[in-house]
Amino acid sequence: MTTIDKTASVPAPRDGATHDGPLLDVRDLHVEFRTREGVAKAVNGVSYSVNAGETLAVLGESGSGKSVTAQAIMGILDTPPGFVTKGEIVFRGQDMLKMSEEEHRKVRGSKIAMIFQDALSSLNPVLSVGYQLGEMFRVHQGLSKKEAKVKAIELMDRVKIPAAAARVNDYPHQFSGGMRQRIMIAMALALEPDLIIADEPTTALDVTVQAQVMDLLAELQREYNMGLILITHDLGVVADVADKIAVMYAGRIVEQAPVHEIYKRPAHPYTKGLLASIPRLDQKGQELYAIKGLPPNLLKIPSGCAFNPRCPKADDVCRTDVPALVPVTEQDGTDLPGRGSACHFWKETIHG
Amino acid sequence: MSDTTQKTDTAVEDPVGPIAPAPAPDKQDKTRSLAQDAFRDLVRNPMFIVSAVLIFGIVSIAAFPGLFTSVDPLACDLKHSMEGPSGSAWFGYNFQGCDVYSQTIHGTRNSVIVGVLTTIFSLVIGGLVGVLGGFFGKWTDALLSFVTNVFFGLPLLLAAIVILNNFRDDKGMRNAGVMAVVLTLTVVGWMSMARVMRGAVMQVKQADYVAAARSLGASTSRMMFRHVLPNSITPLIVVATISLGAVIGAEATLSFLGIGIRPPAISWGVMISEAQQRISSGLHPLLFPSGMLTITVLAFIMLGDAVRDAFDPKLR
Amino acid sequence: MADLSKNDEAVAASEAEAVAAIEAPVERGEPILQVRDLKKHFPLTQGILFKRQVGAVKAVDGVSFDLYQGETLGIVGESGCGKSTVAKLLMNLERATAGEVFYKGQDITKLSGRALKAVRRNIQMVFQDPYTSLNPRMTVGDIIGEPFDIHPEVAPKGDRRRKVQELLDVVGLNPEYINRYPHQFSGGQRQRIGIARGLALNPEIIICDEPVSALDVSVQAQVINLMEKLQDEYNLSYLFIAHDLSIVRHISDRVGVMYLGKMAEIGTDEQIYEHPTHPYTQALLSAVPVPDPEARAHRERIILTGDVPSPANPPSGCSFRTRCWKAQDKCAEEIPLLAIPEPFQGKDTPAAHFSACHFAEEKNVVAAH
Repeated sequence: MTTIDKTASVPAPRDGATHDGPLLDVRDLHVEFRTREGVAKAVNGVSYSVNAGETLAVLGESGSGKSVTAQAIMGILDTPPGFVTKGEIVFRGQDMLKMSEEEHRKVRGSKIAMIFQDALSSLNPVLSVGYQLGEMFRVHQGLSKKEAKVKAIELMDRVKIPAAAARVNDYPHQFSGGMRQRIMIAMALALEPDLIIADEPTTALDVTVQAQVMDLLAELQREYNMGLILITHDLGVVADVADKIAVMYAGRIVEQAPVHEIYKRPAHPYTKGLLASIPRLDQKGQELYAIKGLPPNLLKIPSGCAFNPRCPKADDVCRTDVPALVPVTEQDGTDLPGRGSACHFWKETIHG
Repeated sequence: MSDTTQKTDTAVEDPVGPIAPAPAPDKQDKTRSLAQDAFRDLVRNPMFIVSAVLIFGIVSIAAFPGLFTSVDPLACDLKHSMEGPSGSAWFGYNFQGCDVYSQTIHGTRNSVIVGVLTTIFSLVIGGLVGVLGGFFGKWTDALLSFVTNVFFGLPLLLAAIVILNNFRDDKGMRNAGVMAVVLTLTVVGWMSMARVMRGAVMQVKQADYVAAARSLGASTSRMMFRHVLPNSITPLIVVATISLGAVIGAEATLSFLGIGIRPPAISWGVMISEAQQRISSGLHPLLFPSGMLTITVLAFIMLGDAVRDAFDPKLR
Repeated sequence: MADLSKNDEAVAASEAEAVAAIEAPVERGEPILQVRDLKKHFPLTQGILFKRQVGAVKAVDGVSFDLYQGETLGIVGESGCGKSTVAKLLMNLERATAGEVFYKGQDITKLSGRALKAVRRNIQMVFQDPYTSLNPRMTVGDIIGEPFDIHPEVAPKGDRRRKVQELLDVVGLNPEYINRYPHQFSGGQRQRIGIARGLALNPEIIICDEPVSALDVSVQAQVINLMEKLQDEYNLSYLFIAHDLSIVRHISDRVGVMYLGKMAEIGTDEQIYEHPTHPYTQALLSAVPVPDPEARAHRERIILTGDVPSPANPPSGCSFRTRCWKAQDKCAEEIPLLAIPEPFQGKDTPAAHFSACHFAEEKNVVAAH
């Protein structure tokens, strides 16, 4: 399989930074929310890594912990109620959780940027977009107002906003949804970060605009050789742009694989169920496959495998033992690089 | 489910679960109404108990002041002027040599009547104007908003002087009774309630469940009283409990200016405004009526809080 | 006086006639709802006290279609295309600016009083957002029972609790949940409650406005299955409005594509998905992310430039021409009519379906999967 090599190989680090290994490496991250009702375990031991120029898609439903993980990486977790209780977030060889507040702020301002789902509420409605884009340069690079404005226009051109020079003084509400999302992307790009985290960047957009925005993001990523973490629930978007996928459920990664592999041969019943529940042409008029039951309540995650109450394969062992994320192999034991599954019955799921 | 957990994608949204067996305890085999649920919640809320006891006490004092003191509040003797608290006069004497304790007790009735009645009247008028304007919109709203704004334009003092000047006793002296003060304060106080209510109603009116009721063929009154009102009244209750204290304070202002309740009639407002003028010669005549005022306002705010919480199923 | 009461009688008689017509059954395969040139223009006004109209948002601008008994008609389109406004017009939640909606021969846009109430019994709606469509201060029992309060003739008072529990059971919820409040349920469960409320009066038509788009992926399939099951059991006709093209294809018998308040193309699901002739449909279909990474290399995607124009100021002629790669002078001058395009007229081809384009041609953009 040629596709596997893509994820296994590590591109050379950008601008000669002195670190080995991936750009971002999240190790055994635990996050919990201490609420009135009790402790909600939002993230329970998540590990993943992204290389420069690579796109990792984190797929999951609401409550799977996919956004919370991103918030922890960005250091924008609401504390309280949210607390990182364990784990490391290693960016270019440095654990960000051990950094001082000031160091952390510097990294997240210039090296890691985030794009949110709702561009309208992420932009300040009473400031012009030119001012907001220029702010990055004024604050981080100490440019003058005039210089910052020139830079802002440049950025707006970059993200293909038509007539950028004429629109630089417009306010966010004067732009359409797609254009606002481009402005968000421009803001994220302003300081040429090494990593972009995009949390459902196109969910609020129309289909025809979605395609434009995803294409733009992919193009810019190639150009700047950035790492991209794409958080989404849409299997279609993932298939279109991702290199590798991590599927999350109840705060854990349940499956991890290169993108082509996972659609062909899922190794976890949850992934399999998700793929099966997409309406397909040959199933017209029949019942859709549906995963039974509901996403778990994070205040009382089922014992053993969190998916066991909804799983068609569940056995006694699933109700008692938490399955670890183990490497997945071919039937004859050949390695499948980059693949892992947290299921006691992954062999049956992938080969059965 | 608190707002924070919702926002942070932890989605602690399902305490039910289809597989979970229905919980056995406190299962009544009858459809309960929100009011019944709310009442069950209220009696278990310590904040409600405390505020209810306080309000019961205050109302008892207002209704039967004779039970709490046998001293005539108007039997003043200048030789006791500004004497501090003692065994015979627990709160001491004021400048005129009147017993502060007795005056505080006897002043309760007027203050509570002014506070409670004004708040209720403002609540009813403001609530009604707000609901009608917010719900029907268009010209109804334009008209009612216009009227509201006109009243907002009235300065409190000017309105009070104009209205209260017309109340005179049999000797032709300017002397406004309690009801005149209630009327005045209602006239200048209902508008903020109308604004709050209108805003809340306009927001709730947009909700899909109102559209759902309409598409079922629900009548206007059903939509208004079953769907819009219960979901928009919360801010009004909060504003009302807070304004209760402000009203008692405003009554004091009017007394201070000599156009409200006037001596020999007693109210906390009258006492506070009198004591304020002589604050340099002694603090106690000011302290005790103010203390009662604070406790009363606090009790009503706590009551409002408890009632609001009880009627919000999300907090259950 | 006498004149007046006579007049009243006449009104009552015609109302009774209307009610009788509304309560008559419709054969399977007959049109149950006929929408003709429906328009909704929201006036744009200036001034606070003395308002004057400065323009109009043409949210729906001349839409016609039929809904047949027992079928599912899917309506797709992007946000702002007017699909949700169509739903509101059919529910009489908004008054139409012009046009007719015939339900069993009665124009429901002109009905009021008893006749309108009778129509409302038969046309129900499932809303998009299960978090705002249920009154948070009412128990599930009160919410599902409310239709019976409004239409007491459907269920006698003593019977209601049992009926509500039956409905809960039908939509797959535990009947014991009757005393719970909406916030105690998850999104999927709330949507089931909304569906139960819609079913309470035994309607003939259910209008679904994005019924699953607010739900988690793994729950969407459950709700779609439930809706299909209920359609068979209760012989319902669905108008299914959504932006998710694959779900619409799964559930619909026929599909209409809307753009800027107009119907661009309408036909059977096969005609629309396999043989689209309108360039907008083709672009829309090609832009849908396909959950198959193999397809991304050899998929032809039509990426439209720009955004949907404002419905307050739509382009002249064909409203799609500003983003269309085929646009010519004719498109700016002449509004294309929704009809079978000339090249396909009288031919026995799946491309011979209604399409509002001057230069309609077939183009298969969906990789068969």
